[in-house]
Amino acid sequence: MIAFLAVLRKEFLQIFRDKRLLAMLLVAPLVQLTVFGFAVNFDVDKIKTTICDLDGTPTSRSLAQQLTADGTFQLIHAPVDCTNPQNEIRTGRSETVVVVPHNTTVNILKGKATPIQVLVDGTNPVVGRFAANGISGFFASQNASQNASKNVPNSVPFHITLNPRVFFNPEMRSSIFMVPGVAVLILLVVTMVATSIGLAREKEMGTLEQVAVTPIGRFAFLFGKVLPFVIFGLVDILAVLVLSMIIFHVPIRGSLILYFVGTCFYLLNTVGLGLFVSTISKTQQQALLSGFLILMPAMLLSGILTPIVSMPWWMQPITYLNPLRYFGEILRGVMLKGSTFTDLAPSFLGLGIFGVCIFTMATLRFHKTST
Amino acid sequence: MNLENFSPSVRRTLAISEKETFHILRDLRALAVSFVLPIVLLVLFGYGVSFDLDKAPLAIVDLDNTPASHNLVRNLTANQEFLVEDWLKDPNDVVTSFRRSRTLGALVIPRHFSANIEKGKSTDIQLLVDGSSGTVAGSLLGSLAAFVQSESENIAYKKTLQKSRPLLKTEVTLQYNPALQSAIFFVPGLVAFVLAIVAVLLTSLTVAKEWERGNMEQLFATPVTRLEVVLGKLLPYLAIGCLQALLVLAVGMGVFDVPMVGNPLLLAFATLLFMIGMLGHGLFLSVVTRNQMLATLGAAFTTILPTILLSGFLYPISNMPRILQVLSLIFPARYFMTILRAILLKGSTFQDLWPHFIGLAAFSIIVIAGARARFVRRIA
Amino acid sequence: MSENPMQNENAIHVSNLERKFGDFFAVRDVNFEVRRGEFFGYLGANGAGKSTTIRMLCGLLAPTNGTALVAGIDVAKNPNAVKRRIGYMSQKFSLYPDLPVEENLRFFAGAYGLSGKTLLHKIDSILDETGLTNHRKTITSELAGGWQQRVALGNSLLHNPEILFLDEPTAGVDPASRREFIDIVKHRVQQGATAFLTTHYLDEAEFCERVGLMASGRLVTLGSPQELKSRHVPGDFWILQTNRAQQIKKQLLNMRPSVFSAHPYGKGLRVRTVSGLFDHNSLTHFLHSFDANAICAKGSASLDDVFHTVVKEDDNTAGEK
Repeated sequence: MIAFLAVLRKEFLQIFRDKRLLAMLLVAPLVQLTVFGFAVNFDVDKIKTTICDLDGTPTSRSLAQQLTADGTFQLIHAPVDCTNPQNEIRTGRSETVVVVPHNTTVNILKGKATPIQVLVDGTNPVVGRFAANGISGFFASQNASQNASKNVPNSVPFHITLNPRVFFNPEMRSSIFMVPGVAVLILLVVTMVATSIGLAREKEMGTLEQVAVTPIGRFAFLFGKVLPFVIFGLVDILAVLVLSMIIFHVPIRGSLILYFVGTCFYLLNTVGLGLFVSTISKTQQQALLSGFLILMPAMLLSGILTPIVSMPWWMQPITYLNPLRYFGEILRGVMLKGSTFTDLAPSFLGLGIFGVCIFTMATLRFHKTST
Repeated sequence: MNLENFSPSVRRTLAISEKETFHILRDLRALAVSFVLPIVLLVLFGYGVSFDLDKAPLAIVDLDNTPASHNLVRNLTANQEFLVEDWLKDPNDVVTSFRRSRTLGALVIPRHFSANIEKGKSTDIQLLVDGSSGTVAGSLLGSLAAFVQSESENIAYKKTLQKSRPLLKTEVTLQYNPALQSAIFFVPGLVAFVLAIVAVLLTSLTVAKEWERGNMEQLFATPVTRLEVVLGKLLPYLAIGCLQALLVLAVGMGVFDVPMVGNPLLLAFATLLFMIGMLGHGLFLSVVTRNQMLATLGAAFTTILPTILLSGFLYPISNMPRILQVLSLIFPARYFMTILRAILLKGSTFQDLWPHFIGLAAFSIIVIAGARARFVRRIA
Repeated sequence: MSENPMQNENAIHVSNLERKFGDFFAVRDVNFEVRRGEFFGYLGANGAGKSTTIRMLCGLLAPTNGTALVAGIDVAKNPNAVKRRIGYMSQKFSLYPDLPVEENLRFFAGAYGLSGKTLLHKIDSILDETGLTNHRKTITSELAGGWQQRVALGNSLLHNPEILFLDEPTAGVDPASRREFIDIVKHRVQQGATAFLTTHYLDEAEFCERVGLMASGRLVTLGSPQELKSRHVPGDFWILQTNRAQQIKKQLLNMRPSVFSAHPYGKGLRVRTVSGLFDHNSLTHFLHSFDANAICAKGSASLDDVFHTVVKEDDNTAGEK
């Protein structure tokens, strides 16, 4: 116990002496959270739109105006060569081009069908799909209102309509969804990298050997070494909580106890991974590179940046080996959905099992003697 | 190689490059990071990074329980886009299903659904969506709305044998990615991402290590000039970077069917410009920090995050707040990402893309000049 | 330490100690004892196996064969019991450079299980013993090299170890600092501790009661400095001052095997002969037949001579295999 406290005291002293490390542990995560929270925005709007109005009548102008009225489609005011609309998209000036042909107004009056040509840049599938659906939907509703106003007899007699209700995030704001996810990523980077570098540095400096000739136990040393990072992780998650509520207005619907207990479970995993990385590294450089080799796939296969259901079937089971997946479910569950422990029990179980395994394995691999 | 034929300056530069190459070849882990990581990332991204709906788990609350409602559910799951994960009796159980992350959405088919159809009365189907699931929620809304609309038309058609005749017929052409595949969009971005990370990370680490170990001091005792050090260190990594770019593109085209519509030479030129900028950036970081840990953290904060977030890689720049849009202008990944996609998918030309090329070139010149200027011949 | 039941045993007892790295024998068939209260020196070229031996004795490295008893305990079987009774200072810089001197000591005192008042008193007395009291608040990396070594020594003395292992503790330190450093260790030895010192500096080895010499992983010779000298470099040493060193050297070497060696020494020569071959007069007479101004004086053997001779013998025997 005495030895453990000595390690703990030393670690804290070192952290507080190293202003840059302190900044990395405390300030950087919050800056990242803020930038991430604002930058990650899946809401598709302001789609750059060009309208080639070949008809040039009040009716066609009103169509263009209505299409771009709510800001989803943003009109590009530039001279357009409508003989070659593809060009607009190739240069990236527009994401969609709508061509309203000659005689549209005349055709509408005559009740004749008019083809509206729509070009959509499909490069970004999310934007592409959204734009295609949005424009089709717009003209469909135009049809309906035209039909209704003219009392066209052969219109559909009845409709089955979808009445959507969005839970937990009714405005479907990206930041509400992303902020808890980003917290998961940031905690991983900060605690795992700091742990692995901290140990690798002692190896490189030779202090680890000096410690090895003292009678201090392996567990006492390692726990003393990682506990400060766990504590900083908890401080970070507290700051995340405050920032989420104040800046991003993320609701906290579940229990705060669950929030912090889940974080502790998760930190066991992240420092365990950090320890593991340091056991396979001799230098700081190796620790950093190995760390990245683990970090990148863990971030990608977590369901935090992209949905797990969108992954191919063979990839989905792999995510069960990823602590990020479980903690992502826990944080989003607790913050946004008000999930209870019963709801989240499988995630806690997964996180707990993985954490104990990785921590034990890393500790056993960590030989005080360098044999 | 016979170095005697070159001028002393070129010889010295090549000597530094040769030594650097030895270091790289000796460090297997760094080599693995250089060549294995890009491929692993590419495959993971190519397959895993997608916002497409595929077997999205839904809950069904069928309050009607008639052949008509069963038929609706059967049609819903016919094309594999949706999967019925839970059959619930009570709409109030849906929230619990969301809280347990079992399902992403729920359709509530009302009582009298079948009866209403028979009577020709309009009916509401309720859709409950887990809004905490981000993009999926949006896609779910859109595609279920489309599904219900087409069901509505089909049923109405069967009932009345009348079809609504639209006056305005939209003919949508999806250019460059007609099937709207995620991989085609992400793979070009990934090329930029991988090159950026590996280049900055490797150079910042290796040069910072030389500062830490005092090798730099030794180097300065020789007649080698600053520019020679900078160039000599960059060359081997530039070669690695170009190999990586080729490798990643080859895998992208071979495995994920990414097309190459535009001019490969223009692409090569852009890649070279971008690599020089990234390597110069890594060098700059290591010269400024002279410390491996700080150089790497600096690289992580100034490269990895901006390349994921501020370059349009995953999320469109036009959606960001104004400040971040302006901020994104200083990161070359943004320009390179645009150029890559435009050349590979759209076949854009230099005339289309010149402003982006200027952005890339400006960044490279600034960081290399900066690195050279900070390469003070004095050991602090 | 008086309650120690094994007081009369040897501090270190090594038999058939061996350590292999792959196919390479870093240490091979090493046997020796160190008595309690002895100042024991361990010499050898770089890579001779000194550090490997010391690391096995400290429980940092498991031997592949043989046994090492330290303070009567088998290190391989019970490394932790050994660690409580030894102090170790490595050739590598092994302090936390970003912490003040005091905090380095505090950390290691904690690691040895000290706490509260005992800890504070101990740190004060160590600072006093190593002359670091005025530097207690200084950041370790800001200290000069010789002072840093003292902090490292202080670290290894914190728990009053019975046996001190010092692995090239003074590498790269100026002579005055080295001398002060050795004095601190000597003081401990006078108080009853045992010191095991590896070094490159042969003048340091002269302070040791007994010296072991390693070459290519083997312990080649062992004894007090005096014994080693008479065993390996017997005979008389002469220092010659002359302007005609080359010519005289040739003449002297013609007298082999009565003359063992003649090496340049300053502007003159240093010569080893069979004991009693020359006295002062006869040598002066001999010299004057070549150089009328030549002067000679009696010299003495040093451990340098022992080292060179032994390493050369070892190379020769190795070559014969």
